[in-house]
Amino acid sequence: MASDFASTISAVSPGRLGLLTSLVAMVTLAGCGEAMSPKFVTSESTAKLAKPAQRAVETELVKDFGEPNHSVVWEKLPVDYGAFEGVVEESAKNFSDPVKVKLTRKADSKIALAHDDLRGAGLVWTSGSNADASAWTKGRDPKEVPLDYEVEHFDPVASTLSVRVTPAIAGDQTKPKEEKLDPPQAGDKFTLLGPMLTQGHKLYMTHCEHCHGVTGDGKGPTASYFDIKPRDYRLGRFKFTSTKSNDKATRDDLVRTVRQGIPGTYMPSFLLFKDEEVGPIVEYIRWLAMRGEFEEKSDAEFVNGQFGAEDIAQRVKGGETRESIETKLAEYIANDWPAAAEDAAGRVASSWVAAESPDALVTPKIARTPDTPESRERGRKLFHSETAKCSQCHGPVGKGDGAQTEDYQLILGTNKKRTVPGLFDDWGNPIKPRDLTSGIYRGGRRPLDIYRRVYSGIKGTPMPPFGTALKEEEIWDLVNYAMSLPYGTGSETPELRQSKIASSIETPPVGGGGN
Amino acid sequence: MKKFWAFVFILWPIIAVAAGVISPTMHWWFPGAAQSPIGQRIDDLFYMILIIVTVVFIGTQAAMGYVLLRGARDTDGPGRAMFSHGSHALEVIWTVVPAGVLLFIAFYQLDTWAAYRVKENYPMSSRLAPIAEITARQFEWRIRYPNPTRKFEDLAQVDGWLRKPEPDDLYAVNELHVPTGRPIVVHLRTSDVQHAFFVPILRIKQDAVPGLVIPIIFETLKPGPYEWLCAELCGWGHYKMKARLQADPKDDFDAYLKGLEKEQFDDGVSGHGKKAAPATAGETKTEAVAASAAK
Repeated sequence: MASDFASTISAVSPGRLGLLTSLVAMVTLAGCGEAMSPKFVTSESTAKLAKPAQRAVETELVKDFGEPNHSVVWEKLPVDYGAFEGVVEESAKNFSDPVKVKLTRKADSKIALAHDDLRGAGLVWTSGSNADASAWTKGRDPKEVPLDYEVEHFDPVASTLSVRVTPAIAGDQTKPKEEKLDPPQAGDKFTLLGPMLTQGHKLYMTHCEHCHGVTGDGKGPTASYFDIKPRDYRLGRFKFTSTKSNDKATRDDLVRTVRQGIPGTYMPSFLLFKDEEVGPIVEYIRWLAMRGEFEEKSDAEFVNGQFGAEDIAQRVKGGETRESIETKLAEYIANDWPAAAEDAAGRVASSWVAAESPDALVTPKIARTPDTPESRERGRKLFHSETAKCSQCHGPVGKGDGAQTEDYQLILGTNKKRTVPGLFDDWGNPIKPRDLTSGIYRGGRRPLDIYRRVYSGIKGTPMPPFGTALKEEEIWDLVNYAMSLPYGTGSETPELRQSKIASSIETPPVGGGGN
Repeated sequence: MKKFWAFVFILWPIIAVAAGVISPTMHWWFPGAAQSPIGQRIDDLFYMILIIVTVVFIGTQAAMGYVLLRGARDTDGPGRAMFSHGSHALEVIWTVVPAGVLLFIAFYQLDTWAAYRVKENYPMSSRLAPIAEITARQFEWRIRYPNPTRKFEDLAQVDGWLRKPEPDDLYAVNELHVPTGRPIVVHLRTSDVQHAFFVPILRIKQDAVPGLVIPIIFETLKPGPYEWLCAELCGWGHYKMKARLQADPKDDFDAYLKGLEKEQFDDGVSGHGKKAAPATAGETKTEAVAASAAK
């Protein structure tokens, strides 16, 4: 009866049924396509290099960092890749047999491993009865010689891994002959590299990528709708940190930003994330930042050697032949570039290591001055003073409308002035000084936070550090004054207007007074 | 063939009733029993309506099944279908009876509705002790608690606090703590578009409307973290507005606010910040300012 029914339908309207079938087929096929494989985007500064230089930088980046779905563990960088040590439990007869490996987390790593993280995480055979096993890694960076492996089964409770390893890497000239090798024996050691990045990548792509972009360049698809742009990590610069003005952000700073969000911007709070989620996200962001910085520093090496596309055009005008420049560039890439890249990476690494040292942390030595009207008044005077010059940007009453916001500023690193008035940050985006009366504190509202903002400035913005120019007591007075502004007690009460009149006799009046 | 269709239409209500009966044990039902008194009253209303609807559903479906089977049998014979033109009495009955039922529901639910919606019905003690002001924004919940030492003497003072933040307010994001066991009021607003405060297990849902500050009253019966969501599609990041409502016994709630205050006034040295005491005490301020002015 049912088939009767179907045949009636198809007899009556074969066209419609065909349409339906093709729709179903389309939906099904679209759902089963290739998995997305995102790519890192080459930065603007790399694009300005001569083609061979550009290729050299790009090749180096792929070698050292890989692609988003296949990140490379570069142990030179201070990143917690979440390495695991594995010991083979039972010897295998053939390479095609699955090998049981017992995994132990490295003590300094904070990661909870899941099956999916094992894909693309990199497995390295670090020791073993096989005499020449280390030939894969000897004298070479382990990252260059990963094992091809296939995870058969992973038991997260017992932390055991059943894995099939293949020693060969297609096209690798240095690969040892398979017949010379024994399959993994009991007691052999493996290191599982990079599951932290795999995890971080997955979470980042779900929650962060749509604003901050695959490369961390702040150019995700939703970013174009914002007037306040998402952070571009590639300068390695983060605004709200607990460190001194020249230091990077600490892991804790980034964790705090992820958890608390940034009020006044589009960065929401991810408070409900578990520690096992925030850890990998922050590690991945640091890694992206280091990648961006490394790219920037690599570009600088070539620009210093006058190998920018424009430089070369200039040099050709100056009489050099294009061929001789290209030869020089080829020589540079062959001889000097590897060392220069290592050096650039070293500088990136050491700055991130330094940020985590206790020396980098800004901690006041004296407690906050009690928040009295006298302290606020001292703060107010400082606010208008020539030493601190706060009012020049933040305005006479802290509204963020100081004279500098109307002025034409210098372009970073040049003597040229901008053609548009107003303040800009290091990323080239227009920026407004904080309206201190709004009561919105992007980097946190603890007195300690405001202290750090004054002490170290806000990195990547025109807000300068005052840690050396001002005494600690003075910073606290400024903090007390700034924190009083949203409540009008600083400028609105009749008493204070009186005190202002009194104090204006001592200092010349600045701005329009209280409202 | 006629019988086949009659059975198909009879089978459907039987499946529907069976699914309804087994759904609580299969977890196809509510996300657990309501954890607030108003939620329980809302559930009671829901069940009352469900009973009415079930009776009507089974009755009408049984009648329809009967008619279908009768029709399938009767039309087998040589007779023709009989055409009848309406029945005034029948139409009056099926109009008046449902109207009566609807009126009954309308009046029966008024109390529950008023207890939740009419703020004059809220206990004065709760209205004078607002727990927090919640500002929804794309895409998070920003929370402002009055300092636990702050006492509101009348509603005008509460309004004043809602209009203007105070220096000793305490701030948090995406995690609202409330004390259990008593009706509490939180005030909801939004700084951009429409959002909705939704705690499914409490059956509490309230839109946040630009330009309005809307009080929400509820009581949590048991401590516990509860899921708190935005229930109004508010933009591309709507799904990010997942938060936690943490109901605490009174002592834990007080301890939470103390901890929050300690954290918020942290100066990195004292470990516990000093409160801006003089800022709120009017007299001290006047004296001190007078002193500085005289200097």
